[in-house]
Amino acid sequence: MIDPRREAVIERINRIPHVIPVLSSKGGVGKSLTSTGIAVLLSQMGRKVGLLDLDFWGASDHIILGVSVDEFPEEDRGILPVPKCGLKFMSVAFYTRNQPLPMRGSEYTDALLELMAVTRWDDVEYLVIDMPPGLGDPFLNLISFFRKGHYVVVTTPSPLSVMALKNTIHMLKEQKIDIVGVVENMSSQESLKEFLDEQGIRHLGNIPMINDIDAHMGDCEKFASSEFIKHLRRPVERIAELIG
Amino acid sequence: MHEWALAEAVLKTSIKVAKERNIKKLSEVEVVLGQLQDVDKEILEFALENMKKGTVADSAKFEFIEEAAEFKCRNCGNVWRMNDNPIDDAIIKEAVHFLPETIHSFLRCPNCGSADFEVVKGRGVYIKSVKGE
Ligand SMILES: Nc1ncnc2c1ncn2[C@@H]1O[C@H](COP(=O)(O)OP(=O)(O)O)[C@@H](O)[C@H]1O
Ligand SMILES: [Mg+2]
Ligand SMILES: [Zn+2]
Repeated sequence: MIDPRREAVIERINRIPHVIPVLSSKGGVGKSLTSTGIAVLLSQMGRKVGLLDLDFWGASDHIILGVSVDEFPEEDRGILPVPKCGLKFMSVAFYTRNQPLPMRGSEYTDALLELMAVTRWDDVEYLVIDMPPGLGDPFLNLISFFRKGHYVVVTTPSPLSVMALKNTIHMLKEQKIDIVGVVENMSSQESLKEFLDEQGIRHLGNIPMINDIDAHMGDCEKFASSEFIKHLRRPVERIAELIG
Repeated sequence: MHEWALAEAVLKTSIKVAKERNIKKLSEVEVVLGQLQDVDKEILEFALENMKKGTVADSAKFEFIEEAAEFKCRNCGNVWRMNDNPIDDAIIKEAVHFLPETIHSFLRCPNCGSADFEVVKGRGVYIKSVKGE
């Protein structure tokens, strides 16, 4: 048996000029808010942006942006990502309709291949990818398919999160993958600057605890006007400068 | 029609295999169509016939083999077929058509209720063989 999707996936990926995976092996550090924020900010800067939620077990980006999953994305010689907030958005939530999606790692890989094989990003210049936590199948697929991505790692200053950061950086360096830098979330200062300097990794900036963040979800304008986005702007400008 | 994207994948992969095996002219490609994904064979065939022109698959015959879907529960070992209990909800059918893994959002093992089952057969579109010279 030959799987026809791999070839299609590789071709589609090669057509996207810049891929920005947002990851961390730790959950709950702000990957979803950061990746969605990066996509919104890049699109505000006039770039053509796609946002792909690859956290199939815990899809969240549609909730942040207020994308309705009551209808299937349009079909035209493939599947067209849904236009929202000035960007193109794709998530499994359109197909699970917010039902849980319990599945094994091998099934995750199958779903990833299927979605990537048929989704048409067309003129998208920057594809931002939101990842589930961990170093399992999703991570291993990511670094295998998106070797040329510009990776952004999210962390908090907690020692528990820093351990995960260390390990994520370790894996990416070992695979000679480009790390654009680290966003230090839920932190009032750049407390990891020294640690990252030692690692030779860029500190892109810190984002403090935002008390009213919940009130800024579920709507493009509200999210775009949040303090979170305000603090993420400088890191994203740096990302844009760095990757061109 | 997302069948066009699947057809593109089948064609490109057939061409790649032909190149790898030094095949100058493809004569036959056997394509398995899994019942779970329920792709429209006519559209897939039309798309392939349309896109193959001018490629190494120009005169290739695309043979379609339909495969019934079969599941095996990882929790209790129960094996069952899709035909035993066909899905009739149009929305679920369409979701599974786009993304077969979403079956885990909607189907449970009829014996023990587990969502942890394997699609043993008939998941989606695969190439069974590529022939030519
Ligand atoms: N800077 C912040 N200030 C306040 N709450 C935050 C901040 N960053 C993330 N959160 C909250 O923390 C939780 C986890 O964020 P999320 O983006 O879902 O993380 P991950 O995707 O890494 O699991 C969410 O409830 C989110 O609203
Ligand atoms: Mg998340
Ligand atoms: Zn069972």
